[in-house]
Amino acid sequence: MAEQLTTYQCPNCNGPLKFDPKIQKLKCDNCGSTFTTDEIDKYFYEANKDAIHVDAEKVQKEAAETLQWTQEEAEKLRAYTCPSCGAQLITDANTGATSCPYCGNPTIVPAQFEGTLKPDYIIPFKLIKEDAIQKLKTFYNGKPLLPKTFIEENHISEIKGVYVPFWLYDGNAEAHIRAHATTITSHDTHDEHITTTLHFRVERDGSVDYAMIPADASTKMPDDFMDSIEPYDYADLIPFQLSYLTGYLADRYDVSSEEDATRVNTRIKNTTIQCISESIRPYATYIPEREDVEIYPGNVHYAFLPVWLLSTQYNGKNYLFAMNGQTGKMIGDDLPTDIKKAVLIFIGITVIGILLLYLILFVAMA
Amino acid sequence: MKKIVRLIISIVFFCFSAVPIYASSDVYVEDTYGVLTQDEVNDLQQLATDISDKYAFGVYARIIQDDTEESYNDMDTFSENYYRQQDLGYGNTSNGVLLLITQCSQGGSYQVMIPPESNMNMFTLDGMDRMDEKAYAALKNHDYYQAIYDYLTEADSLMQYYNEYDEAYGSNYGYDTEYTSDNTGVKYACVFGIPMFLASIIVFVLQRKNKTKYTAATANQYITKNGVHLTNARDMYLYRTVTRTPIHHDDGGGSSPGGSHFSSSGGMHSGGGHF
Repeated sequence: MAEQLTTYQCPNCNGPLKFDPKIQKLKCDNCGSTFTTDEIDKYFYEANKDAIHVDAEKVQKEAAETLQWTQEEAEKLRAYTCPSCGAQLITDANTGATSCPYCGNPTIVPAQFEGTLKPDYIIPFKLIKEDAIQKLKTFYNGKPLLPKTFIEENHISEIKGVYVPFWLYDGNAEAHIRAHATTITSHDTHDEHITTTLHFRVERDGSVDYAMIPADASTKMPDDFMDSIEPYDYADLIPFQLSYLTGYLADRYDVSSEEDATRVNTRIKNTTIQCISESIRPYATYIPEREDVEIYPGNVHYAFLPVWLLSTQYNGKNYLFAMNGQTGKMIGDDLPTDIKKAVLIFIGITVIGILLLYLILFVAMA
Repeated sequence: MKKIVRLIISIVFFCFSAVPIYASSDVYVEDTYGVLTQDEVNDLQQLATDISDKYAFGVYARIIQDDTEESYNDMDTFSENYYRQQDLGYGNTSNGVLLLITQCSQGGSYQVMIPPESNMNMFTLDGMDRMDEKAYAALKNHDYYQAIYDYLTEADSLMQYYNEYDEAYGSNYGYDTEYTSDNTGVKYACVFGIPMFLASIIVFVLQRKNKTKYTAATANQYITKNGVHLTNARDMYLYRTVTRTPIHHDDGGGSSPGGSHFSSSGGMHSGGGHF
């Protein structure tokens, strides 16, 4: 019989939770969120009440029978045996690469990358963990309103390398733009200032070709984070190989290319209008009357792109940071503002400005 | 933290304490050159004070030594600068007229002047001519006391004329001297308003540095090389609109027969001259 198992998933991202002795709380490996045991017990209020013995081969069926997981949730679970220590690994349905919580060895689930699930491309990590740590330290530079305690209490060591699944879209868009434009000239006679405005109807038709527009294919990754760490240098894009995933976390996609296409199409439309409109010159004013864009989708590629993820906590709030694992571009959640510092800067600038202007307007010009 | 706050509050109060309550001089007649006796100065001072208080308009006279020699060649600029440096003007305004008599190595110079920041409604270029003529008639004989006395009485009669007839005596020869308002309030609004506005902008920009994530709205970086193709460009002329704005011309040159004129800064100056 297999060991009794109790599993908890992170309420934020459904990643596996582990108890961290250093902070005496349950902690998510994926996003770094932390929870007290009371919070998790409340969230899964009958987690331990009806736990039953499970067999490794029947874990999905039995999980559905407990009060812990619904049938729908059970279908998202997978059970594996660690090839190094023989321990059971319980993961969600999309996990493709992880590490054994018992022996720490990185593990990969080949089935997640076979057949139609196999990614077309991958950009291997270019930056190591130490690079990411250093980058985060410099990320705080040039932000004078960031509280000093935020930097001091930052848990820099908690960085995870993750291969994020992306859809890369090719395509073409055709636009038709109609606008009202004017040119303005003026001259003076002895008695009058004369302004002459010529009015035009301008029409432009054109097309724009696109390649490899990225959109992340994981519900666990915030879209604005993944947008913000663009662009990746596709010169490093190579055909996918399973071995690149070792030591890193990776989930296969759980957002289809059709679902992701909506936000990509918005980007295509905005850019197409912008490109074609640039040809409307030289006019003094330009008012669009009609902007029609027709999008013709092309190939869609499935790729794994590298991201370093860091989660910290400050004043009871979680902060997520993401760094492009190839270029080093770092972004994060909106950072807290030191209100006292902001007020001091405001007062200081105001006082100096008042002194200077007073000297200029009332003394120097008096 | 508390020390810093107290320091900033102290600086602010210092600034307010440095603001003068009155931007004026109550010394209407002064002779630092030393050609008038103290009794003469006192008499003229009393007369000037009475006239100034009657019309709430400063009537000033100064006799000074000009070691810079600037007044001999450019009395317009010299007199306006002098007026401001001496902080002249009735009450907490800049309203006033000045008879400035200077002495330098090249000789004596004089001019009657009203600064651009003063109310000019009670005087015209013709009025300036009259005050100038009265002063010069005595100055050419080096009778400083009489020159100032006649200037003061003429100023009094001109302002009395204004009070009786609600218009200034004479003409400005086409120059518009409509007095709008003392701009001290505007200056104070700028002194406090502009720094606060700038400080708000700076703090807003600094706070924006704490926000780094965004949702991508464009895909410019993913356009293929030579991927933009313009297939049609058609510009069709529709119609024309013409706007005509009249240009206002100044009828006169802003200069009187006696040489009184307006300086480039808008100050009213009599012809003045040397004696």
